[in-house]
Amino acid sequence: MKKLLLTIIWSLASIIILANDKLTEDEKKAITNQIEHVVDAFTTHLEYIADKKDSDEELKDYHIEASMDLFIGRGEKSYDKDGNVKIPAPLIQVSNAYSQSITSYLIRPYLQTVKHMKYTQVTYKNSKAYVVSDLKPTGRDCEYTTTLAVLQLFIGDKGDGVKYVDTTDKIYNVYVYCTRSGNGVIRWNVKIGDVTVQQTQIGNHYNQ
Amino acid sequence: MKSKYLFIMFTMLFCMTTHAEVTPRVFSIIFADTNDDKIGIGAQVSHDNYLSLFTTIATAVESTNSPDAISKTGYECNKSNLISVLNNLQITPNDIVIFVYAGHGARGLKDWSNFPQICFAKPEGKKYRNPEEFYPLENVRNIIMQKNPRFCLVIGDCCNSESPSLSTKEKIEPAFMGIQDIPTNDGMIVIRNLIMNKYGSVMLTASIKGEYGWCYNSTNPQYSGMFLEHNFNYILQKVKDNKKSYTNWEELLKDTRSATYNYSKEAIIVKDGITYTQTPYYEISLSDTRKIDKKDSIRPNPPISSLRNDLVKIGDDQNLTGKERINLSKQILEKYFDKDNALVDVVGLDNQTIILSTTIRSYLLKLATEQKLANLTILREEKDAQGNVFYLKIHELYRE
Repeated sequence: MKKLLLTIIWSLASIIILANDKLTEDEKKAITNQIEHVVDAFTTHLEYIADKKDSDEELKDYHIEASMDLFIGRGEKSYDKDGNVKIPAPLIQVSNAYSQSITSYLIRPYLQTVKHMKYTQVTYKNSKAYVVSDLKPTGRDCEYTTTLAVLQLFIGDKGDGVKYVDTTDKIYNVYVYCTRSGNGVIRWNVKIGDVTVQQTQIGNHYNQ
Repeated sequence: MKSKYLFIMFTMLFCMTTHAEVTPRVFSIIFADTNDDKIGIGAQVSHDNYLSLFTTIATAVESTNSPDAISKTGYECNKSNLISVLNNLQITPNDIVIFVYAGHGARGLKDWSNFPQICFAKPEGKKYRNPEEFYPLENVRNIIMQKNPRFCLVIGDCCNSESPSLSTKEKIEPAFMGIQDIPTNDGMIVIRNLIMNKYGSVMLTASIKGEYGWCYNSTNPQYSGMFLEHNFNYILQKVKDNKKSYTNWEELLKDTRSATYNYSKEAIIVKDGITYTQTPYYEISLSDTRKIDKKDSIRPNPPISSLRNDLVKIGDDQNLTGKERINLSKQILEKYFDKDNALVDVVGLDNQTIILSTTIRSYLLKLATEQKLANLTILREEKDAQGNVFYLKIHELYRE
């Protein structure tokens, strides 16, 4: 009976906390802008890491580390306070327009692959990220998700006159969560989750 | 013949040194009565919004060597600090000075000035303000202008009423937040032209003679802040968004005045059975030319070293290589921070919502690999007893 009462009190407290979590319009605007900024920052890092003209390996590693900071759990599994896996390690999908195959990578191995791609010249070009869905509560306290769309152009040149060119629609899943300090300060953070491929086409469709 | 060539060379050299485009410095000063029971929270919000406005202006005029804003809040918001700050202001004729006061204001019955007197914060441990500590806002402008800056903007975000007792000045209404969108390049050019195309001063206060300057309810800090600050920022946001291209201050301040007046009218402010409105007052004193003493010739000023300037430098992807930015970030970490887990909070467009909370190590890496950072404002900086920074609250400004 006591246990039941405690459960009811706990549930009520959670409902109150969730009710207080309602974002104001100004908060939403500030957070949405940050969501776009985070995804744009990642795609810019990606362009730099892939760039063969700049061969500064050490600097590329800094961009890889800065990219990892943008992902939930720094690209690893996230755990709750009881040690259970809360969010699995995020994955990024890579597509091949010719074989129409899709492969999923963990973030760090993916970025290492991008860094060491066997092309003499690589161009990644990303459109500006734009939010395609509203912030949805995940059901966990103070946590929301949303998705963004980015059009990505990839050009790989092996130097033998043959170029691999594809254009991919990518969807970025983003987590928005907050922490509360003892003095009531709410701190939001925006982190990228899974990145999925919507469709991929041979050739440059970037400006169409 | 030889002397003629020499004369021409000297003349050319003189012209180069006096008329060369030298980056102006922006000296920003804010006094805010953040301790006040009634309007303190609102004054703090306005303080942060004005700090961001200073950064916007410095960015718009492409100033890369401006000193950190001088900010006096709480008990530091007092007359002796104001006089000391004004006296110690060492500026050259190419500099820009912006002064803001956010707090209580009033006027004596025989005051001739159209502007109010600054009613400084209650001294520590005292229940009442000391009228001897009040200071005419107009004097602030006069002292600054005696130092001959190229442009001076003075803002008094306070009452201008004749009542000897200070009013509550509250109204429960949310309003516009600060600057909320990333500025367009065109918008920044408009701000630059407003500041750089004329010489002289612009002075603005929240209300005309005899009127109160209202603010928002202090129980809702999200929306607290002075009417003037919100509306001035709102108009400037329009400028930044380039939704409206102002070519002169008269046009811009006229819109600020009507935005504030209309808002106060719509808000229906009633106190003791009387309905109030608020009409900002301004004076513009600008000209196309000015005189500069020979001793005050315009010379480039060396960059000033400060944490803010150093952080901006790390984020500079235009003039530094990636390696230089990384190396600089390591130096900055050692120079200012004892621990690499010092907390950094970054606020969003509304200047309130914390949208990123991270360690200084991670933040410096972000800055060093970031693109398009134009400028940043340190809204709060906390240091330990040894002078090491352990907390920063930052507002970032990005290029389009």
